Amino acid sequence: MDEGEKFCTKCGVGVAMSAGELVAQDPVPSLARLSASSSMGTARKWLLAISIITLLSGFVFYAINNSDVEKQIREVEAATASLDPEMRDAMMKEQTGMTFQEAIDHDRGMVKLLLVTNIGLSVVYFGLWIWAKRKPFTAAVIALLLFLTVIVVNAVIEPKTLPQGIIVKILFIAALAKAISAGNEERRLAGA
Amino acid sequence: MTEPLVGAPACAVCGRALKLGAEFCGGCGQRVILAPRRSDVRTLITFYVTSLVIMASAMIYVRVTDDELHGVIGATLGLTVASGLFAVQHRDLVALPLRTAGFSLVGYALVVLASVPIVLGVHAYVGLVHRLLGMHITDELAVFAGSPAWLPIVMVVVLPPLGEELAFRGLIFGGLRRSLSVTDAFLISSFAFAVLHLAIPSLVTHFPLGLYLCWLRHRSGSLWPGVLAHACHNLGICILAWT
Repeated sequence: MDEGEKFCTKCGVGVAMSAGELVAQDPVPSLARLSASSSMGTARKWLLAISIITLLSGFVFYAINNSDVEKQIREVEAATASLDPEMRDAMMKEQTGMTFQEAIDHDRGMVKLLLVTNIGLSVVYFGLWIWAKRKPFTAAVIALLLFLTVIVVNAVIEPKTLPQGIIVKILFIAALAKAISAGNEERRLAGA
Repeated sequence: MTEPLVGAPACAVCGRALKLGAEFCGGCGQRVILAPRRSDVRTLITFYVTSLVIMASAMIYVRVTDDELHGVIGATLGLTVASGLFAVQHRDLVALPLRTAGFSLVGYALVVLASVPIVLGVHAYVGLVHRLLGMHITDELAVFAGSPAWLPIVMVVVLPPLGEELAFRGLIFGGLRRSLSVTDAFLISSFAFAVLHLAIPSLVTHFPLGLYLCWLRHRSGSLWPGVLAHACHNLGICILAWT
């Protein structure tokens, strides 16, 4: 302990502190704790819901995109069937830097990457749902940053995704913002 | 003896300066659960959204004009300028870490050495993901083809490490550290750093990289070891792409 300290800065026990004083030390007003806990509970439910929605939509989009890509591949194969394979590869290489087969594999890989991305996102949200029980404020901030990023990136890649599920997006952001605000308030009262 | 937390609030009950990592006030025994200052959280979210808008604008520009080179230059310059402006506005957070060297020459040499396995690890992971998905590995520096050699050096090796260290380890980590625990500040700033690279598969490499850069900042008390480590990492990626 440093000079002038009357209490341990790690456990709060003082030299002359009685058991009664220790019990009376909890500084968080129960109403504030209840309110923060309720807000975080709602945000946690949303985190679980978003995790499930992301996983399900990942598989749905995978099925749709996979079907589209296979259709495009069949069309291109039919259109270039009369060309010499070497000439076709040379043309593709000039346009895309890949041979015909590499371009097909690349397109199929992109569809798989989208699925992996959605599964990854779902796992991250699920992890945040679990973690929010221990570190509600940190989990809520991370979830908000991640969700905003996903919305913006999706909107840039495909602008029509922006209005899709707009109510769910607004409700989720509002729940996280409320949880962050409540977490802030709880900490403020605890320190006051 | 633990150093008092610079810029941290004093105990609300007795006014005593709070020590770094203290959970209770040494003067009155009051439990110390520091409220994240509204301004700290607001700075984090405002900076993050500003950066997202800059990245999104650059991506939209590339989609509309098909001019990837100027899109990359615009995004890099935009993010660096935004970091600089936020740093000027919150200079209390970055002034000291910018003035401090942090490590000795040996420390800096170790930072450079450590970047070799990190770069090789990242490169192996990227190759593995592409092989697993059967994708063609695109040359990240292809956008600079035909440009003078200094351009990729400035746009990849110099500006991003400066801007991102100033932003994520200076402003965000520094701001959150004033009111959150070290672990929470590490996690939030590293996650923000990883997610802002806008590729979910790269979270696997960028999140640990963010934690490492945060650790350098925390251990040294300076931004410069992180800038050097970040620059070495980006230079390594460039060298692997060139070779």
